[in-house]
Amino acid sequence: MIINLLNPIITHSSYKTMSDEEALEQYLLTQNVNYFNLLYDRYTNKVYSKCISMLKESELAEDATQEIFVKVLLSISKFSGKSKFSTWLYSVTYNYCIDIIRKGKKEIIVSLEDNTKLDLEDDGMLDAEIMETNVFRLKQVLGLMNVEDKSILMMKYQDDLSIKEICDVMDKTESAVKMKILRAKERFLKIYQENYSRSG
Amino acid sequence: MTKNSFKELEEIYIKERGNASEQTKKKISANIGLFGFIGHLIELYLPSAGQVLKSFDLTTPGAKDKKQKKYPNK
Repeated sequence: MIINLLNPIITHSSYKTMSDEEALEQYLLTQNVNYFNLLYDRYTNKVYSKCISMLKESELAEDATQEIFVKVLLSISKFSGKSKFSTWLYSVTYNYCIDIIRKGKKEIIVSLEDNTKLDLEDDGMLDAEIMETNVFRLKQVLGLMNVEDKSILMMKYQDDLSIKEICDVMDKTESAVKMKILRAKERFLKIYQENYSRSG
Repeated sequence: MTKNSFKELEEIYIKERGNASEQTKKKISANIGLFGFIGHLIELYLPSAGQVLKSFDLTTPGAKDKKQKKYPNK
C-alpha cells in the first residue's frame, strides 16, 4: 500500500516512448519505480540472454538477472551519462557474470600459439564466417570458450558495440581491445575446427 | 543482409525463458519497495532519533557533574 502510494501510475502518453536516458532522469528525479520498470521491461531479456550464455544454467541466470538489476538500481546515481544506458547495463552484466565464473571455478583456457604477427585491423571475412556459424554449433563453441573471449565476441556481434564502447566496458585501451577481439576470433575458429572440421 | 547467429541464439534463449521475467520483476520490485521504504523511514525518523539521543544526554543524571569532573580546574 505504502509502496503504491510512493509510486503512482504514470499516466502521460509519452511515458512508453521515452528514451532510456529520459526514463533514467525521471526515475532519479521522482524515485517512481515505474520508470525503472520501463527500463527493466526493455532490457530484461537481453540481460538474461547474456547471463544464460555465460552461466549456462537457467536458474543461475535468472538470479543473476535479478541481482544485476538491483545492482544497477543501487548504483544508478553513479551513472555518468558518458555512455548509453544500455552500454552501461551490459558492462554491469558482463562484469557480474565474469566475477561469478571466476569465483566459482578455474577456467580451461584454450591456448593459441603466439608465433604470428597479428594485423589489428578488422577482418571482415572472419566476421562473416563467425556470424554465419550454425546456431547450435555456435552455442557449443561459445560454451567451450573462456569467459573473456566469449563476452568480447558477444559485445561485438550480439550487442553491436563499437570498439570505443567495448573499451569503456572492459576499461582497456583501443589497441588492447582490438587485440583481444582478434585473439577471441582466432580461438573461436580454432575450437570450431577442432570440433567440427571432420563433420564439415 | 548477413546472417547473425549470435542474435538468433539470443532469440532462442529469450523464447526458452518464457514468462520467468515477470517473476524476477516482482522480486526486484519487492527489493526496490523495501529499499524505498527503509529510505523513507530513515529520512523520517533519523533526525528525531538524533534529537531523542541528544535529549537523553542532557537529562541523564550526573551528566553535568561528569563533565565537570573531567575538567576539575575549569
